Amino acid sequence: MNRRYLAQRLLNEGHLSQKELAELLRQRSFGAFEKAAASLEGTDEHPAMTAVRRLAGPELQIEVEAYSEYMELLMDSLMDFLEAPAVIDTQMVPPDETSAVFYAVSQRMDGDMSIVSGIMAESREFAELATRYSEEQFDAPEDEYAMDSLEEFLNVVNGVFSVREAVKDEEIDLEVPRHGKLMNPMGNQQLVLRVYADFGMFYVVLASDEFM
Amino acid sequence: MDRKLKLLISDDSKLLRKKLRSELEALDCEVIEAENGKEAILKEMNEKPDGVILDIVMPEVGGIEALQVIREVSPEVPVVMLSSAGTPQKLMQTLKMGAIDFIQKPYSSDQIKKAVEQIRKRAAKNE
Repeated sequence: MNRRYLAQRLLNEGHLSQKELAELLRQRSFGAFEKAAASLEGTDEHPAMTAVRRLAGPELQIEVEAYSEYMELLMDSLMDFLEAPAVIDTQMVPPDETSAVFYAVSQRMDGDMSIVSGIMAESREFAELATRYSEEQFDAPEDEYAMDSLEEFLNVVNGVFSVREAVKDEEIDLEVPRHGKLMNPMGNQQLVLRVYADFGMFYVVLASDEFM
Repeated sequence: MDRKLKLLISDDSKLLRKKLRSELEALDCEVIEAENGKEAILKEMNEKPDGVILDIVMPEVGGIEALQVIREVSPEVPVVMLSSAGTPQKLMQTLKMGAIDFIQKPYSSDQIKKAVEQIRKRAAKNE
């Protein structure tokens, strides 16, 4: 099991607090995850999916499998394309936490299922995500290419998701990504997840319709 | 061919166009850009490129509609699809419509190089 999966398991099973996890990720102290792993019992090959399943309430019973598969892909993609080890927080995000204004990108996938996925972050984290994907330096989300960079990242992740769904005979089409400033995402069947990465924290929003 | 290959790239991402332009220019191509399918159709008719690299998910007119029109207007022009929407259905649909290749994003430099070579061969035949 890789170190990021270990970190997710340690958080899921209460061996690390959010604060400890955020600090270890920030320091990229992955050796600490391996030491702590000795305390883990049993196996879980899909800890990101486990985290999402636990956070999704009974009202998301239909969506939870797609949402958890999507999040596992997104977390893998953050590592593969941005070299950003990241972990999904196991605590619910209270609504007032997202009442500030964030920079955001979203994309709708429609067809046999309907999912809108989005990333929202404060200025510094948004610029860092955009910088890592494009390998160009962005100091602020307002840079003409920064929004474009994160839209393209989401588009690529969602493209892979649509291909995986097609294998299961679920045909979904991607719509054009959107960007802007967002406060209080309000989608139906919505799940807001807090994600910790080595550079800071951001949110992922999943819903059955547009929330921007 | 003893001149530069003239390629039209159509993608709504300005960043992707910038990066792709840079890679194509390094392969000795002249590059024209379009930010959606409608612009791609117009530029294909006006600029007469040797080949087209076309995204699928674009505003106004999408890549599949643009491919259909380009194939009708200029059936000899090779079109390569470059998209994240690479489901088997989309792949089959666009190849049946006459696209010569489908590259799933994120692309590699080798895939672009190979596509350029395919277009270059077709363009040489068309001359």
